[in-house]
Parts: sequence; structure tokens; C-alpha cells
Amino acid sequence: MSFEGMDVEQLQGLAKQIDADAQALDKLVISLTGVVGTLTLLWNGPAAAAFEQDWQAKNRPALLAAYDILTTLHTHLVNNISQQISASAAEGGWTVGRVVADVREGWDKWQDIDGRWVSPIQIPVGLIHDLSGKHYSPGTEAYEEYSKAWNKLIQLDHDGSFLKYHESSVLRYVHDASFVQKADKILVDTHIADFLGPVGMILAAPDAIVNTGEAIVDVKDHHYNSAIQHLGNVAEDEGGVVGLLAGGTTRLLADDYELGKQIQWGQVPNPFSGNNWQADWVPSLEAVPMETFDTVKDAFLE
Amino acid sequence: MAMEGMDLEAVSPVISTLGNAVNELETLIGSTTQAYHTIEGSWTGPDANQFHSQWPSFTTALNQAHNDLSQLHQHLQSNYTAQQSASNQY
Repeated sequence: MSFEGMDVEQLQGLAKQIDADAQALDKLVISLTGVVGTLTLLWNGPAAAAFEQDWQAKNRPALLAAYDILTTLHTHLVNNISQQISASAAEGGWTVGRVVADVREGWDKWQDIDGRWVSPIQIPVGLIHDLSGKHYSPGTEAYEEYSKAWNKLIQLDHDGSFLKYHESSVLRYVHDASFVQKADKILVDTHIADFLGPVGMILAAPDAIVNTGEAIVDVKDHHYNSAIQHLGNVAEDEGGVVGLLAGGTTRLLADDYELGKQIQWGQVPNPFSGNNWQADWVPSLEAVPMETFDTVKDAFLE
Repeated sequence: MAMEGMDLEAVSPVISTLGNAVNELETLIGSTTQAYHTIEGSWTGPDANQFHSQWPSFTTALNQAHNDLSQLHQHLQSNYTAQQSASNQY
């Protein structure tokens, strides 16, 4: 089965509408059954009997059949959405624009869920804006300082195993997300985008690794509330860019888990598959020299 | 069709409920028809063929139910009005 010329959003909208129609029809049948029952008590005679007979033998079964047809269509649509998503992932149908929109939407939801998260998120964005706008420009002392910081990072981590995660599709998508775009100037000028990508910033503190890892495991198991709690720990304990990016990454996956697990990870172990997160990602991240964390923190967070 | 003795006070809310149900059915017919037209041209395959073949019976069922309930609603309403007028003459 396929829907030609329709995207997932259209299908999801249709599925919601048809489900709502089916539920409305179901309620209507229940309501009308009650009305007919009441009428039989208030209305006597052959006309009343004929109507009740029609309702029981004809109208009610027809409406229930209509309900069945609508629910069947809804099931078809939901199944087709899953197939469409699989096909899009297999064909590399994810676009940067699409994922950026997803991240933005997820970000807005996140902020709506719990206001206390807004502050630790807004602070680092403001910080980076400040760095990139007011104080960070070639020739200034700050520029020299950060250039040195990133040169040091390159020296420290050139052979680090975590660099392979730079090739992760998810991290590339997050890199293009709106909230990271806000830090575009400093990312570009310091070459962090080319070298580390967002993962470098996610790794800015060891505790963040643990909490982010737990959150991703929770997402894998669909325990989204627990995942959010773990990310809350990241944001509260580490604050700054760490919480921002770690939260954004996992929130994206939580909102679009079904999409996220179908990402083509290439040579990178899929963190949603088997025990890859615990067996591969965490050891690789933990192997990053501690000095790396300090360098990133010195450059961005302090 | 004749109404034989009607408890006006008791029938009044039933008439309202029935009227609301008729209106809701109209909304549902419009909504489902719109949804069907949206997917009609783009959905292909065996499932689609099966669904397309079922759709006429679905719309027939909804429209028939709507017509029957509309007639009942009108019948009840006119009998209610007639009986109310008769009661007022005494």
C-alpha cells in the first residue's frame, strides 16, 4: 500500500481527523441508542414500533458498520505512516530542513513542559551570542584565546575514538538545529563545527556523559519522563552548553524515536541498537582525555 | 405516522437531543467525505482497492441514518407542536 504525493504530516493529520470522526460516530451511536430507548417509553403506537424496528435492524447496524470502516481506515493510515517513515529513512529522505523543524518543535515542547529548563538553556545561548557578537572578533584578545583553545583541542583529541561520532547523522542534524545555529559564528570561526561538531560540546563534562547516556537508554525503552529527568540532571549539574546540546539531542530522539532509530548510522554504532550505547559509546566517550573537558569548559562555560 | 399521546415535557429534551444528533451526523458526513477526497487520488494498492470498494456502503449508511433521523426529528417536532397547540386550546 502506498500514498503517492502525500507526506507524513498530511497522513498524520488525516489519521487524527479520521480517528476523531470515528470516535464521534461511536459516541453518537451510544447517544442515539439512549434517545431511542427513551422514546419507546414516551411514544406508543405502530409508528413508534416501526421506528424502533428500523433503528435496531437498520440504522444502528449501519452506523456501527460505518464506525468499523472508519477505524479500519485509521489503522491503514497509521500503518502507512510507519511504512512511509521507513521508506523515507531508507531513501535518505531526511532533510536538514525537516530535522531542524523537528528540533525546533521539540525544543518548544520542552520549554512548555517545564519552565525551569528555560533558564539553563537560555543562559548558554546568550553567552554564545555575547561571545560571538560583542567580544569575539578576529584580532581581539578573546579571538586569540579561543583560537588557542581549539588548537589545543585538536592536538589533544586528534586520535581520540570519539571523533567517529562526528559522522553521526543525528549529531549532524543537531548541528544544523536552530539553537546551534545561534552560535554559528563562533562555531565556524573556531572550526569546532568542522572538527568536533556538537558532540564535542556534549562531552564538555563527564557527568553529562552519564546522564545523557541514561537518558538515551530511557528513550530507547520509551521511558520519556525518566529521560527528561536525566537530562534535567545534565542541565542542573552542568548547565551551559552541555545541558543545552545534550538535552536538545535526546529531546529530538524522544520526540521522533521511531524516526531516530531508523537513521542510517553508517560506520557509527547505532546507540539505539542492542547494547551499543553502553558497550561502545560510553567507553569511547569516557576515553576522551579529561583535559578536553576542561578546555571546552574554559573556552565556553567559564 | 401518528403520535398517540405525547408527554410534552418529557419529549422536549429528546427532540433537542435528536436534533443535535442530526446536526452531528451532517458534520461527520462532511468531515469524512473531505478526508476521503484527500486520499482518494493518492492511495493505491490492494488495501486502497478494498477501502475504495467499501466507501460507498459507508456513505450510504451515514446518509441513510441521517435521512431517517431527520425525518424522525421533523415528525416528532411537528407532533410536539400540534399537540402543544391542541393543549393550549383547552
